[in-house]
Amino acid sequence: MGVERGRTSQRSHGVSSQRSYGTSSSSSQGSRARCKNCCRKFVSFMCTQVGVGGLVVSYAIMGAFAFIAIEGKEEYWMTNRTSHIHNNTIRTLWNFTEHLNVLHKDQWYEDVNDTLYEFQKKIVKVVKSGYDGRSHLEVWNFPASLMFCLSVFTMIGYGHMTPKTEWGKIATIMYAVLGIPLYIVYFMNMGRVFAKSFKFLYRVMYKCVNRNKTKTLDEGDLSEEQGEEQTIIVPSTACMWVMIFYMTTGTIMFAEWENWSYLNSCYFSFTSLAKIGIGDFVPGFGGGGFGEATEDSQTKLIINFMYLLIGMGIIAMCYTLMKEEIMLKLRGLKHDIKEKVLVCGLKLGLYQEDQPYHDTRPPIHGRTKSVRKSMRRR
Amino acid sequence: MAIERGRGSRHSHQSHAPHYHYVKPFGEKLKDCCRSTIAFIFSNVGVCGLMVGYTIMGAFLFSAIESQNDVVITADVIRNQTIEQLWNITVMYNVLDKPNWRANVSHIMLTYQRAIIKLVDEGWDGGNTTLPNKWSIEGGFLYSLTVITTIGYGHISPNTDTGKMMTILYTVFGMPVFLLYMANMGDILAKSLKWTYAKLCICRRPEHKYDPSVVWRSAEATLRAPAGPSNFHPEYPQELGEEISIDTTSWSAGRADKVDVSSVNIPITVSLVIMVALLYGGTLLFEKYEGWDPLTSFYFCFISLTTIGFGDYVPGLSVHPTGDDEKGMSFIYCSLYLMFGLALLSMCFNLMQEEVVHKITACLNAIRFFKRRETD
Repeated sequence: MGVERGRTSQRSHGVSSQRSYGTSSSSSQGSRARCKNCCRKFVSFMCTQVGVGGLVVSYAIMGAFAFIAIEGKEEYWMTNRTSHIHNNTIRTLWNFTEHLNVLHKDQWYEDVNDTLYEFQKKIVKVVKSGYDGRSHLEVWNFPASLMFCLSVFTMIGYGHMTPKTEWGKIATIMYAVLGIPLYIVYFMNMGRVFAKSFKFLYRVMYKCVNRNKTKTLDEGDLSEEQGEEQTIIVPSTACMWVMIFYMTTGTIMFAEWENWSYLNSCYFSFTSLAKIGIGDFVPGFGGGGFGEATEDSQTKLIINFMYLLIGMGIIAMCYTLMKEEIMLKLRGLKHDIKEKVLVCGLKLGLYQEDQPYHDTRPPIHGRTKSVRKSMRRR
Repeated sequence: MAIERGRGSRHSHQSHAPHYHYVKPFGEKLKDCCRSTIAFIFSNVGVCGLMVGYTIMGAFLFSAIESQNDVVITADVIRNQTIEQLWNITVMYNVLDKPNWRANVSHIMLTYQRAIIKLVDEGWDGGNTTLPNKWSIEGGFLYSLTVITTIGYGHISPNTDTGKMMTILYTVFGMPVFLLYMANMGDILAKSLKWTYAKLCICRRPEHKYDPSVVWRSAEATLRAPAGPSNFHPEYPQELGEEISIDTTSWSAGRADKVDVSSVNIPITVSLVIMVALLYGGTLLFEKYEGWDPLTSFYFCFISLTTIGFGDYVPGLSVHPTGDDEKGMSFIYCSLYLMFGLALLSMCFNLMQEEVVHKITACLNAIRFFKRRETD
């Protein structure tokens, strides 16, 4: 607990506290202290939200370039091979169409059927060895590669593009091993920041509403309420509304851009934000995963990238807030049950009647125990 | 831990508690025993059952919804259509004009090629067989499992609107069930591992007499030695951590004869070894039953257990020629591996986190101690 507290305070105060350290130390020592100070500032900056966010984005960009470098060549080779098969087949077809001077329909059908059957066999073989029907420029361009990296380290895993080479697979594993912890740090961090700001927002709104209500009341009531406001817990319904709002935004955005139906769009944003990532709908790749990539799709992919990163932060926020609330409720429930047990005991005549336990609400868990112990002693 | 205890006590209080403290001690003990067994079934086996039941329900649900309009298009049909189109083109150009003809044929062939690729992606193996039914019960089971575990292979996806809506609803209710299952299984596994570890490693050690001065001397020695976190003597960090924490919290716990299972700390290396063993076991399993090469198999295990789930390799859909029986078996292996593996992985992470927190606390305590001594 102590560790946790220490880290958060360092993060939230961040630069200001470091500056105060720096002024005290720079008077005693010269350049070394300044260097230390710089280092410390850098580390503390990396621990802030901006630093972590920047780290995640730059990690994704780095991964994007790495995967383009690794996977691009192999895809190119595959495409060459398929186009070779394709051209050969067409040449064969042309040859016997020309060869049969008079077109016999039956004869022609038979020949074409055989040729196509061969073609089909070859294509199946190529597909089995990893080709998926798209040229490498369509697949491993920069925004698509960025989306791939995002889908790896956020554990969404759309699977609309996957590494085909051995080195690609190894690189994916390494990338995930390093990226997932980084992402989790980002997730926690964003969750905390969003939770804090959302709490603040909620408190301000709550205050506004209450001020309107309590203008007619006494001042004493007001001060009491201000005391209460310190312990306001954001209800989970508010979190739900935020999540639903964010999902609706995504739904409308994707439906407009991709010409998906609203249901499909909602399905996409839900499965993405829940990290399922079924991958039958991916922005910029059309519905079936076989659409043609246009230049417009690149900006869309980048906006999708941002949407998902921020969405993950919002989910983390909701998670943090809901956990808080549920913990509080559980504690309340525990009290209630303990109290009810005591009351039941009283009613059944197990305790002596003269103890006024049912009207004092025991505030602390430990006290209830002691009360019961004292009763047992009697 | 606190929540767990709270829940258990809640169950018990609701059912028996009013009579509980004030009957004779033997009956009390018996009842206590009964209650704890009921609580165990309810909390652990019950949750596992809930998870499995929910997934099976999902399997039937999705296979009922989706298999209705599963139009089976075989490769033969597509090929015949293509030939028809080719013939039309050839007939249309009375005089054969090579460039034009080529362009048209090329376009048709590309469409044909895409259709074949799609068929192969969906599990067609290139022979003259029809496309296997994607939404069989096994397929539905794997689909619902991958949805609620957020793996999401996407090798099959719902085509109907009802299926999509049901997927969303199913996930909304399924994810809490899965999280509950993970927490529960993780807890059981962690407990059993701790118990085993305690029996194997800790009991062999001679009893320590907890003298604070000795403790501090050993702590001092440890800190003076250039011992990084890489210094994994099986007992050393354990000792240091335990003994320093005694100063602040668990004086009395240390004196007890029995080793308290929940206070045992598993070293990070053990957790790491378990994780690697899990991955390696999965690699061997899928290598054997799916006929994948080792790298692919390892890649599949890793991608699945991290819940990334690309879905480029899915057991049971492989091109490996197998009978129907074996196919069903590989679905079962995969599901079991996923369910068990995810729980084990989450356990490992929890243990590692615990250990790290424990070590940091120990370090902080040591630092505080030295500071205190300096001021003295």
